[in-house]
Amino acid sequence: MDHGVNQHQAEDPAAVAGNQRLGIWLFFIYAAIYLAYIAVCVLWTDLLDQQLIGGLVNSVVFGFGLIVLAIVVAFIYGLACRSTILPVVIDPHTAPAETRGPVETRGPAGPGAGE
Amino acid sequence: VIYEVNYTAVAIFSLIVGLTLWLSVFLAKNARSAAGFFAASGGIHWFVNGVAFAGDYLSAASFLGICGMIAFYGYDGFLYSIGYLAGWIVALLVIAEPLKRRGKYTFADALDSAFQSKAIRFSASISTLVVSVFYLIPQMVGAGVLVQPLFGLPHWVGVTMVGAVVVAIVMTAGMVSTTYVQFLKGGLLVLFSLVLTVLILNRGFTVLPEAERARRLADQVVEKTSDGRTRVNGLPQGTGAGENDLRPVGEVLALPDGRTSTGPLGPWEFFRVLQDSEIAVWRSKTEGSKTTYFAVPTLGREVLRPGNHPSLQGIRSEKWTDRINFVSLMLALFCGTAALPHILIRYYTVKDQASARKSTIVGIATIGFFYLLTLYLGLGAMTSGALDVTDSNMAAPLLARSFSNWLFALISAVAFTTVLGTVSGLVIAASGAVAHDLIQIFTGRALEDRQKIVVAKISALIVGVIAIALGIAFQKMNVNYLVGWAFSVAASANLPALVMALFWQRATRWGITASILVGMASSLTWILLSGETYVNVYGLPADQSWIPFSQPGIVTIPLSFVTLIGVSLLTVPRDRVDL
Repeated sequence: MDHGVNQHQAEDPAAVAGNQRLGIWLFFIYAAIYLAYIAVCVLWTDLLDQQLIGGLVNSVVFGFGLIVLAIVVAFIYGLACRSTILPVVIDPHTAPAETRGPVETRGPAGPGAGE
Repeated sequence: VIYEVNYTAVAIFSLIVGLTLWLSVFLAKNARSAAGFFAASGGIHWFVNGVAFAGDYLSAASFLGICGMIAFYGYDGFLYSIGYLAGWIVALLVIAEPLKRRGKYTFADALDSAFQSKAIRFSASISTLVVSVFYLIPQMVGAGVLVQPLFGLPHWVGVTMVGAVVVAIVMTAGMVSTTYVQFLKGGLLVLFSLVLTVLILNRGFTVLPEAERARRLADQVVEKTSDGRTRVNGLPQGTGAGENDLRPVGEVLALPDGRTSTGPLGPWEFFRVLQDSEIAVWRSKTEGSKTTYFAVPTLGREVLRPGNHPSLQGIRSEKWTDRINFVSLMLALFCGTAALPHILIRYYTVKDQASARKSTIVGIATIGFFYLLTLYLGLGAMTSGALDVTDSNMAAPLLARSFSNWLFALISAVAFTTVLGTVSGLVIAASGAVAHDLIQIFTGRALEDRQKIVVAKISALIVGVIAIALGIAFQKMNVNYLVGWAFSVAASANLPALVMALFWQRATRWGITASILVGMASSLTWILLSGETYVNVYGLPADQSWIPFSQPGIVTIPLSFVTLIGVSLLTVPRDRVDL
């Protein structure tokens, strides 16, 4: 079965696994904070009325904090992810003359490469 | 409240609809292949796709529903903002890249990629249709609600107009035009929400003068007479002599330190002042055919506390089932986003996994920024003196009208494109499920490219007609309530199957199929037998329901996971084709 435009792009399994691990870790961290917020809402509702930061009630601080944290987590993930696409290998003996250049070898791609 | 036809709004609305239709015709040449029609040939730039994610996701419920809920019940509406955004973390960190790696046009593609199973494809496509239709109803209802006061047209005309425009957009250029309509809508929505927020902060708060209190805070009584007419405070509703209409509401009763006006406020100062102020919050009670709307002086601190909305009062309840209901709702919002078929298919419109990741990050930033603004918009509306006590969905447009008629026209037109963008995405997802998945099962072969597009266009037309019919039939239903259904069904039917198919090597085709069917059936059954449905749909007392709480997620999501694991362990795995 054909699976889309990127099906022929070779990926580096180590980079894929690394990104996945990072994603899962960040997911569990965010999920734990989200659960803590829900727990505060149902178990310690009075805590939301108190003021801990900048004279604002905690309900506003926690709510804004969760939204901003989601954006920050997304950017951290985006910056820390490695490229998973392997460079295309060109055989200098069989490739057309105009494509010959420095030969790249297959291997784990560095951060940001190929993106 | 009786609204006069706003010709500026009609002109701007016509301009935007004309622009979207022109865009569709202009882009039609890019949708002549199945890849072009369903996935824009994977050629959308990640930034455009990211903003289009926002356009796809920020539905009528997000804009009109959340702003209205905050305007009448304070912080409770913001809980939805938090939950809706948190769900995107699941989409980015768990789903985005593997889904892009395995899928092609539909959600079923990704599930089925390792199994080539008709059972999986069938159950996933049925689930796509069910979730899409549930999500379509509130969008269509929202369109009718918006058009009624703006154009002075009946509800069904608004619903039909949206249906017709969306079917035209989808049939002309499929995912290509849908993407650019959503990009346009996402950008406009965030831009004008920001403009409104700046205006709210610049206006600050002003206390209602003592001399006007008796008149502005008096009860308002609406009565339906036996001949179907409406009387307001004892007189026929109207704006002529001997008639009466409802007053707009939303007053600040007292500010800290006895001030009468604050002048411009900073973004944090806005909340600091509000939490120490006193606001008139409007509530209603209905006795027979008579509904009385009355002002309740409320401390700002109370407004910024969860648990004021009837559906969320369980947060402060002593009953554990009421609290579980809230937890269940927040769980469904967290798990539902990454399981909505019309969101998932947007991962196929970019070229590779890195683009899928980057576009999700742009989407999260755009959607998150919008949700931050919802608290300002809702509280700004609450204190604007412009609210319609009978219709919370009109809070955002009426807030805009408290600044200028032009802004009202612009915000109303943007709200209308909000409906167009989301409905287009839903119609594409549903037509893809029919043309790409269901037809293949029933005919026993995959259709050729051209046939697939023809079937998809016919499906889009049929789905559009069904959506129009349901939008008219469900006119009286609460918009946010219906969206809650869609999230619960998606989270229960799709997410467990998707996560386990992508990450658990021992998952079998029967495990995945059973998980989708059990998740879908259990969540639907739970919803249909819940107390909230008894009250809102059947008109029966909630205590006649034997379901302990209304939100199914906390039971049906784990049930779906357990079913998948159990059935997979009991069945023999066929050879997987892992990519």
